[in-house]
Amino acid sequence: MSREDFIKDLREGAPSAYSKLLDDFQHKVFNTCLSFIPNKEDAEDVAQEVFVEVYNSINKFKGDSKLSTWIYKITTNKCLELIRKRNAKKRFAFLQSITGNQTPIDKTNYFTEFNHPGIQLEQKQENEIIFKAINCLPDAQRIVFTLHKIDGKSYKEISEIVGKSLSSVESLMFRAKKNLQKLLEDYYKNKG
Amino acid sequence: MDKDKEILQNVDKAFQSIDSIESVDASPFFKDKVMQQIANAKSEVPRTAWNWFSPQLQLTLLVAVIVLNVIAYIQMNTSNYNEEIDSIAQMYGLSESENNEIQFN
Repeated sequence: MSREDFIKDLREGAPSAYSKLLDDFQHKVFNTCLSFIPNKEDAEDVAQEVFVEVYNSINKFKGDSKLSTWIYKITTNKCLELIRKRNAKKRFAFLQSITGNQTPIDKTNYFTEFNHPGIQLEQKQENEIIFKAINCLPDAQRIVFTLHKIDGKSYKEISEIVGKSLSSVESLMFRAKKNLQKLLEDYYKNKG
Repeated sequence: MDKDKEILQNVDKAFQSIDSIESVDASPFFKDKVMQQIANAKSEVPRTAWNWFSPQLQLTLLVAVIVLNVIAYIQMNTSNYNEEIDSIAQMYGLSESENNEIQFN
């Protein structure tokens, strides 16, 4: 079946087309959600929302990008939506760091309960710390770092998903790493 | 000095821990759940051009029409409608008495 025929079937709401879409993307979308939201139940809820959104918005898909790119764009937006909502609830408890606008890594203020099924027990503590540090990054840096380092997407794929040039993605990645380094150094300094 | 070194080691460990994250499959029921949600979304009533005309709006409009009619009815009963018609008729020479006078003269 050609790409056009497949998209046409999706637009017509054909169950067989959605069945195929789920076969192709359910695990990938779930893993992308887990990369942003390290909690199995929350990530699964968001992944479900992604496919329902695909069904509701397939008529808006112009076809000028790959279907996968469009789906990952929806996934990223849905994940950020949940994170923003949860973070807004916890904002009152946040303390601003002395050095600037960055929020210190605070174990009690993470937006979800840490429950990532793909994390090894012996690495759990380090993983928790880095996920909490990522939560302090600005959205653009968070997206690029998460999609590249945790979800394993290439810079080219990311540039298509976020609609930015390759050099912008590289620049965001550089800044994300630098900020994370600083956040982690501060965390271990205060901890020690 | 040792403390700084230890901090940097811990930071490196935290960065390296990302590489150990394994990919996970979605639950076996995930597909069924999504297919069910899509089927539910399909069976919802399709949106029409009159969708904006909600039941609340319909009720408000009905109440407004009834109130307007009641006000108009009360107004009509209390006003001296016949007298006003007569005075207008006289003003334009259309009253019955004047017509009669013309006929007889």
